[in-house]
Amino acid sequence: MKRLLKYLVLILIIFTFSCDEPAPTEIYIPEVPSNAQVDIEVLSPEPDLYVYQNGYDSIGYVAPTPSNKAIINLSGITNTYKNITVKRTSAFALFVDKSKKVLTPNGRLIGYNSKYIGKVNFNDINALSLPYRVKYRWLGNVVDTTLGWVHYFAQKNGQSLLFPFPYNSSIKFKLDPIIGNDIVFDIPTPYEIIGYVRTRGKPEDDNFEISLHWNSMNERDIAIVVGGMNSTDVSPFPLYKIRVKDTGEISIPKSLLKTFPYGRFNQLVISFVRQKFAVNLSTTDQVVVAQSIHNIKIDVP
Amino acid sequence: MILLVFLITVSESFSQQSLEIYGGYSKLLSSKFRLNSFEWNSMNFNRTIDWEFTFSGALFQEPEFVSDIMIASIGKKLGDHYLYARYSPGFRKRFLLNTDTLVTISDTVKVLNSNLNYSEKFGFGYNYQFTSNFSAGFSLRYFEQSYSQDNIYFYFSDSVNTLITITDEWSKEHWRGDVGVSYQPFNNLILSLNSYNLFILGETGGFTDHQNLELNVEKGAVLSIDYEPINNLYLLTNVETSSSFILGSNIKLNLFNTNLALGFLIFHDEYQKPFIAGFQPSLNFSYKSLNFNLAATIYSEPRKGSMPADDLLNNGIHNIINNQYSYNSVSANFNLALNFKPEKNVEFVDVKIINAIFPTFAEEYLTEPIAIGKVVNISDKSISVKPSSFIQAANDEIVYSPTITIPPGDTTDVQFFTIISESKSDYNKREISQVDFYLSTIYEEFDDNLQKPILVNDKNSWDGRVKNLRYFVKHDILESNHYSKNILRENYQALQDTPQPVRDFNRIKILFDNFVSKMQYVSDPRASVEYVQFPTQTMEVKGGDCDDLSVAFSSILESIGIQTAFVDYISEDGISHVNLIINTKLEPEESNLITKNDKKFFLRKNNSEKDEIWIPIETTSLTDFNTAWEIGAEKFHSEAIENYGLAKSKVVIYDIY
Repeated sequence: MKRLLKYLVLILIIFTFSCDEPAPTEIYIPEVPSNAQVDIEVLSPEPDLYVYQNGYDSIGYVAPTPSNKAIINLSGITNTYKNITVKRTSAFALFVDKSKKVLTPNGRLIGYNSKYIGKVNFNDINALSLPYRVKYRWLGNVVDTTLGWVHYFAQKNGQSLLFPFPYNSSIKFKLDPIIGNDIVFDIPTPYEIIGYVRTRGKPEDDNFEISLHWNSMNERDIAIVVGGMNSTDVSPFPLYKIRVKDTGEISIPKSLLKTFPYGRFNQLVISFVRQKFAVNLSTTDQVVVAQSIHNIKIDVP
Repeated sequence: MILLVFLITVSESFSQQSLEIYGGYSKLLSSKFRLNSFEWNSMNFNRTIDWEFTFSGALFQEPEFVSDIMIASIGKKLGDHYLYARYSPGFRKRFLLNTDTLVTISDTVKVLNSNLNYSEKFGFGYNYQFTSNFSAGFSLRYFEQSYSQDNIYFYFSDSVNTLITITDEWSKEHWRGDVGVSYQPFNNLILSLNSYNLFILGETGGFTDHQNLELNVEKGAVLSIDYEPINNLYLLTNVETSSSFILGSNIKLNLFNTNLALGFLIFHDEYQKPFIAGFQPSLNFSYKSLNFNLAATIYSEPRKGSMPADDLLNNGIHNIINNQYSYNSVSANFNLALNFKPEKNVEFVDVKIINAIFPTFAEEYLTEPIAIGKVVNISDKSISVKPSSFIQAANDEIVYSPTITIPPGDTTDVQFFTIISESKSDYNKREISQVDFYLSTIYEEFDDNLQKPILVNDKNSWDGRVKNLRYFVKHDILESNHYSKNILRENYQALQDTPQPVRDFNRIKILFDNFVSKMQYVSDPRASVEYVQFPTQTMEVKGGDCDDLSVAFSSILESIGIQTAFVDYISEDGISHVNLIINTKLEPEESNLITKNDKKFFLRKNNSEKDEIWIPIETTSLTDFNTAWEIGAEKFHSEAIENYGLAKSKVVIYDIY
């Protein structure tokens, strides 16, 4: 019996010190490069506070509370619905005083006061200096407010292009400040992004699939903004943004499509966004970016 | 063979099933340890002696060192039955499918993954040894599988829009049952046939939309051949009903009283590439009750880091521990054989029954063996052997014979003695009984046993050897004493008037005259078997042959302290005649008190080396004492003295005591 006890103790020791199990075998779907990542971000987390809209006919995406001191944004926008395609160019410059917060009556942050610091032009075309207006919800109503000034350039529907967006080139930016000398620099522009949306099945049959394709440049990530709208709406409601490698194709996860609020929207707007940052001009406080946007609106089958 | 044909017809192609983490060792290799488990040996062929504990762990799995218990098992031999149970925490295969999808929710980043887990939790085995070279058994093993997949959902409302991640999970459990048989036609060849996935029982759950990821359980079988063409070289092969196979070899070395075995095998797997999917070198070391081995599994194609999932998605896996996603590994195996039951040190070569049992000779068997066994010491040390036996018709309990010591490897004759039980039977009829012979060493339990038939005669049977008539004399000694005393009491006065030196002589004369007056000569009732009456039976039937009369009169005299001895006259034709010689206790110089004829007596030395006068009596001469003395003396003098019968052993004297 003593011998048995001795061996039992040995067994217990072996069990006690043996708990280092091997790691699982990591496998991957060969069609997807192993370093491809899909970053999904909700764009409209607080719809009861902010009035979100994306740039179907304006700037491409929405950030209700810009966190940078200076934003210079140039966009070459292509809008496609069925067989109709319209191209536009958009540009704006916003200079923010981050020490001056603008709050709702109940103390929630709407944004920061933006300032007029001089004349702005893009490729020698003057931008308009307009009040920077944002909308928010208060007591169930949409309230307009002005945060300050924005230097904005865009042609209206029906107007001929004042200048076409020069893809894979640059746009000259010039600031004629109230005080001091002019500031001039070139902003590099990206390759044009040309998207294509393929759908299969129907939501009601629980087999709805959307695959997205675009002209891959295999450079930086591209962003895909998914929004919903009704045919009577002016602009789509942004839902989420998917950031992926510029591989040229992606399928929207089925689980995302299943929970899409089809009852509220009968159209989907897919915005393909390829950005190019002016690296030497962009810091944590200022962003200088040029982007190609292709908005494709489809009817929910 | 029917099973094999059946399994071939129902089976589809499936992967290599019989690769062991132990490496491949021939079933012929070890005399004590089980060097395999269910993978190689689902019917549980084993050479376990009593208890056996096994611990197996992974030491290395590419690319890192690990310490993970693969198997903890216990085996127990119960006679011809063998029970086996194993806990296999290391029998698992886990897959992590990284979708490379990052979800950002309120600054929290979550990676969407899919996890696929296969595990075999535990199993039970049984084997029955039908004969020394044929056994069959079965095994039952419990498997668990689970699949989980992270999914993202967009939660949309008036007040908040958000992404949430939900993990969808599926699981499945089942039991797998297999059977197998093993046959050893020659000492150097074992053939085994085992099934795979023969029964799938107790299935619960399932992967619903992902059934292609469930563990494949196609039916199949494997034929194993273990062959030892020359001493200490073993060849082994497993051929499965698919084209999968294993070819291997072991070499056994004896170094410093330890056993060392080297093994190497190659295997082909239908679902792995290239044709020879991998190989297993192994090293086994055993000493006394401990066994240790190391085995490496090395795959022919490199397997490192992330691997493409398409093979898994298209074909699934068929084996948890050996599949297209298994990594190179090294495992260690530790066996502990605990012999609470003694290890067999000696065994019978054969046992020879010397003679049938004659119950009346009970005393004889205390000094003369009933059987002699040829026993071999199969251990490597000198062994003290305690032989014992049990005659079912004549013993109340096992009777132990003297212990002998046998040098290692030697074969020795071992004597078996017995004690005939008086209470076991009346021994009124002859019967064929069984005698169990046992050999035990230092433990209580037996190393070996053997059963043989033996003839147990009735109590009146006699083996024809005159010396053994004494046992009939002693049988009714109390009754004879009563008889003698009664006669002598009736002749008390006559004896009182007799001078002291011849008083015994006169007692003999009175008792004989009285005895023969009631007797008549009758031959044995049976011709085939020697039959001897006990004295009381002779008195009762008032007659008998020379054996019966000599036995009866000897008993009468011995009961009152007068020494007698049988005289066996052996004739040329082999037929003996028996009569008596009687000690008158007269000294040689007192012979004239009974006779002037010195041919009517002869002298024998007593224990004090003094001569005493003995007289021959022919007990079959049923006239009177003087005539019987005359005839007996004449025969004795003629055959024993004049014809040198005593010297030539033609006449032999057997004392009663």
